[in-house]
Amino acid sequence: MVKDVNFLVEDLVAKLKRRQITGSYTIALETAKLLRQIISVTRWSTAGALIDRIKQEGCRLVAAQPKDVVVANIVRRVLHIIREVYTENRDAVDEDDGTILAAAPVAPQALLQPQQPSFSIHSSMFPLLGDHADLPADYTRPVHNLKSEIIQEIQEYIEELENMYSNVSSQAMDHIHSNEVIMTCGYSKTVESFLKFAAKKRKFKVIVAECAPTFQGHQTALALTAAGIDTTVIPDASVFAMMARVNKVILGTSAILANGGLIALSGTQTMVEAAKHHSIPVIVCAGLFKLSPVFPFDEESLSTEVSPDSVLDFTKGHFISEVEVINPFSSYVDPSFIDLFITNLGGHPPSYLYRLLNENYDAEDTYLLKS
Amino acid sequence: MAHEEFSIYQSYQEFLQSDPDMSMPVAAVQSLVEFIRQSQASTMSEFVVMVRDAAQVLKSSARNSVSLAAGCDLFMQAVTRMADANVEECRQNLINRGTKFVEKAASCRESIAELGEPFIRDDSTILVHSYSRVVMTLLLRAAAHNRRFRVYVTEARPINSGYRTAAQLRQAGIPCTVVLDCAVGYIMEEVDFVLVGAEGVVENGGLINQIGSYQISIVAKAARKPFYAVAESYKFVRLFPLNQFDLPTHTAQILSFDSPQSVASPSPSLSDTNSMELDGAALDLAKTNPEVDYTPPSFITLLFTDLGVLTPSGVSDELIKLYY
Amino acid sequence: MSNSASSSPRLPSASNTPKPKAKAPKSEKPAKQAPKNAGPGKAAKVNNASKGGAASSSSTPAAKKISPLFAHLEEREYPATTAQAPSGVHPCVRSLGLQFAELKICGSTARCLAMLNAFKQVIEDYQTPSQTTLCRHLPTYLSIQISYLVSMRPMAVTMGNAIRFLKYHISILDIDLPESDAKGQLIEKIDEFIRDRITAADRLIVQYGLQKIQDGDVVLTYACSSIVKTLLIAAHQAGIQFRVIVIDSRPLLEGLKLLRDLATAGLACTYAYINSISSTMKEATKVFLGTHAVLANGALFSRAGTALVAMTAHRRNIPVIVFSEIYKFTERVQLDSVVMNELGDPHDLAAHKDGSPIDPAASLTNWKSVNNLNLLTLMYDVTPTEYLSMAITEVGMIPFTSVPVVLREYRL
Repeated sequence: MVKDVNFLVEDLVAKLKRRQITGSYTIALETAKLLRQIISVTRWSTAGALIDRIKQEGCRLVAAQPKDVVVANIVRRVLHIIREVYTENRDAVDEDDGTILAAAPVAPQALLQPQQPSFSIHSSMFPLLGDHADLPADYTRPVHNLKSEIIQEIQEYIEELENMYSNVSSQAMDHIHSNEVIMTCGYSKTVESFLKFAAKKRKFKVIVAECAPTFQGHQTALALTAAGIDTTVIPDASVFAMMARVNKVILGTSAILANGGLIALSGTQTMVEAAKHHSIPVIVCAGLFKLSPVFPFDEESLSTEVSPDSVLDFTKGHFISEVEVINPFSSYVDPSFIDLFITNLGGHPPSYLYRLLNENYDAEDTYLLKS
Repeated sequence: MAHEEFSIYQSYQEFLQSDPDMSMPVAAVQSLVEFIRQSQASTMSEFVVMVRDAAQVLKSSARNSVSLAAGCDLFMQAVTRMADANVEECRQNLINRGTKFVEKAASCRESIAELGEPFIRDDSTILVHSYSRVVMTLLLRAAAHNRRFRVYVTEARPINSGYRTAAQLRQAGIPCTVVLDCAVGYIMEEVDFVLVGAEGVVENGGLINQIGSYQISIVAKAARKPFYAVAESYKFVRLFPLNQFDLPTHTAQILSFDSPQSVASPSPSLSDTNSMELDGAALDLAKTNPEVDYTPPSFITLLFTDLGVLTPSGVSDELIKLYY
Repeated sequence: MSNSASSSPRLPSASNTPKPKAKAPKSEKPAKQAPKNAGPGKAAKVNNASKGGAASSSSTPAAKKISPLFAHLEEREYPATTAQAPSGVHPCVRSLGLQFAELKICGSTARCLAMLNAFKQVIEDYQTPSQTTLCRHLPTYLSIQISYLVSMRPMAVTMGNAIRFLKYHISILDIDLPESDAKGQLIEKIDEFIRDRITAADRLIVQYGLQKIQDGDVVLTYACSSIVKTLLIAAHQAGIQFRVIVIDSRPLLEGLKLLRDLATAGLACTYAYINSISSTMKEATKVFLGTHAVLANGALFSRAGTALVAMTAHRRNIPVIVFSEIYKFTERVQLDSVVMNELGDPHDLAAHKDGSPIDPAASLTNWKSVNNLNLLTLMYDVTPTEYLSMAITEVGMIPFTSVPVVLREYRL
């Protein structure tokens, strides 16, 4: 059994390392499915043991692509689900037994904090009022049916992932009106499905920046024109000039950070700054699994530098050996330039992201690799 | 009243002085606990009124009551929620909770420091305003973990508390330079981010802090540098100032255009501010000048609190939940 | 489509050489002399008229409609040919036109210099027809050359200013002057213009510019400005220790030329595409830009991408210094980059210069046959004046608010 799991984890680690699976959606789905399998086939007696196990396997997966936030997000989410299921069921047991938690003799916490889900320690006020936070997080009690409940919850989460694109794109009508001119850059499957959905009913034009040297914009252009959307490809340098004719900027991203900043394809920051200059609203479409609880402590560490060959190769002349060539694949985007996030849960202003974080992750899982 | 000999304000002052690390809201809670311990009330409603009055007395005795009020309000919230229990149980319960709160308050700063530490990168230059215990905890922790950084600290006239910050930082081996309050614009280009403490964090995520914080935040915003506030969550307060003149600390005497003599009447207390010895002229200035100012949320990048790193919008969420 | 349809009725007039040709320059002449009145519409009209000539030869191959958003901008045929040049065009102007169209001579200074040198040749070879005078006929003859050049590529502001200067000096020639003396005088004037407005101006600008580079600086520049190149090499030779970041953009990749020259001269260089500007800008301490033109409202009309670079620098409080001879200043005002611009060759977006596809996985090489697909390249953009810190000109370091002052005081 354990060997099997090891094998499966190794397999995914290898695929991640060799970039055999790419695209954050696929990575998310594969990770979630693997974790579900680990939970179902490994032997564990308490939620605490399971949490440790998932953390341990999760760290191996995260280490395979440390710059990619998606794997870590899925691990955090699964840990959150385990904690949630455990706490709900444990409390249910307590009530059945008629025993009230020892530390709250007079006023049960339910009375004091009626709106407070009891597990979210970190989202509650400093506990002058509540006693619950005084309890050390304790996941050692055996709980009846825990495994099947957890697996069921994770199954629901996997279904949520699978419906991600349709849940995002179905909101398109609320944001795209007829005869709009929309600018985007690079390629994002989420944005593609969002625009295609809108194109079923509305006529609009898309301007896409090509994003040299990846030229992801060309891919977007071909995908959109195939769906009958009037698309114009422009070089990256024309972004500022063309912005004057644009109504909306709609972008994809690799990751959303805790402050609402993005890690997105190089060039995104420039585009949103140009949009700000022209007071054009910027919308970011992304599945919620891209939301990471990590803050951008160090912007430089967030950009991924790739081989400079595609920018300047050695055939251009001998002088190149003296030149430093910079080719970031993705880099940080400041949250102050983003007006709206559209996730599979709906539209959110950047200022509300902290709440989504609290609802989806536990603070103690933020730094997986550290622990 | 059976306990006329007990002065809530005096008790508060004693707590503050007995522990230099204690912050005002914690001292306020502790003095209220002390009050309850000595109080006698037969009915629940009498009890509630008594505690409320005591809190009111406490709030009105200090010149700068924002931080103190946060503690009082937090405690009063606990009191009102107990309203239907019996008096003796309620008393005991509140004393337990209050005592536990005070015990835990100290660990608050440590957990903030833990959350804030990753923001302090090697080779960064930080601007710190005045003296703040929680900011010190954060900086000293980062230094203890071998982070290398430099600190500019404002002088913070007239109380000159910046020198205290500088002395403590230097002792910990952190390179540190005191700058004039009016030199903030000059050095801002060199700074990676600004770190300030808080006396109170208000409903919209804005900040009430030592005078000068607001103008530093404006300079930081103009220079597009992050402005981080560090605050324990017990400093969150249900206040929503619209501007400086809407602060509870604002009085007609502050910076009025009357002749200086007419406003020379001593204000309740200046000693709250942990001030250094002030000379005569500075003392006069301090009396006619505001002690704190209000920094609107649009100038604040993030707040480091024991509840996590929050955007200003997260503060309101916590306050709404707390006072629901 | 609408564009070529509207121009087809003009076809006969384009081949119908002398008379209507003389008309075109007339409509252009007032535009140049009183540029304040020269609205974009007028300029576009001139372009369209000359375009009629261009469209006549190649029988519009699978005409791809330009997005209606940019229908007011002139589309040209690629590849360019000289086949439809009117008979009156001087051979050296004819080859110059081709070099302009193929961007072999590119950059506002280079184009202006090349044009003036060609005009020296034209004037030398010019013979006044009988029954007219040089003062009266030479402008008409030059206008044929000019409108041909414009048909190959829209005129640079520098060229317009130089032409205005030349026409003015033709108009004040003494009517009794013998032809050879008059021609000699004009050629001298052209040399004077080149010397005063370009060569000497550049020397002064470099002197001013050297004051603004210090040891330890990291200078970021965009595309390829000849004056910035001269300055950077001069600074390096003066022993100043600094680094250069060259930002470049497709499809022209002009920065590569600058990079080659700087690296060959021994400067420490970094090279990156414009998309990386948000991260590369963090290292920069100054931004040096050249420009196509400086507009009277203090905005720059410069290579597309300049606005992005200036904006990025401004948001990070990095000073943006523009180097420009004052013959690039123009009375024109423009707020956005769309109202008046030049379209580049769209095919450059789909394929490399050698014809190889850019992205084999998602190739656009057959873009003309893809429904709903358009490729569009703007040659210029307008950088708002608030993003610019300083202009360094031969008359000193000035703020951009003073552009109208310079225009007033130093009228060409």
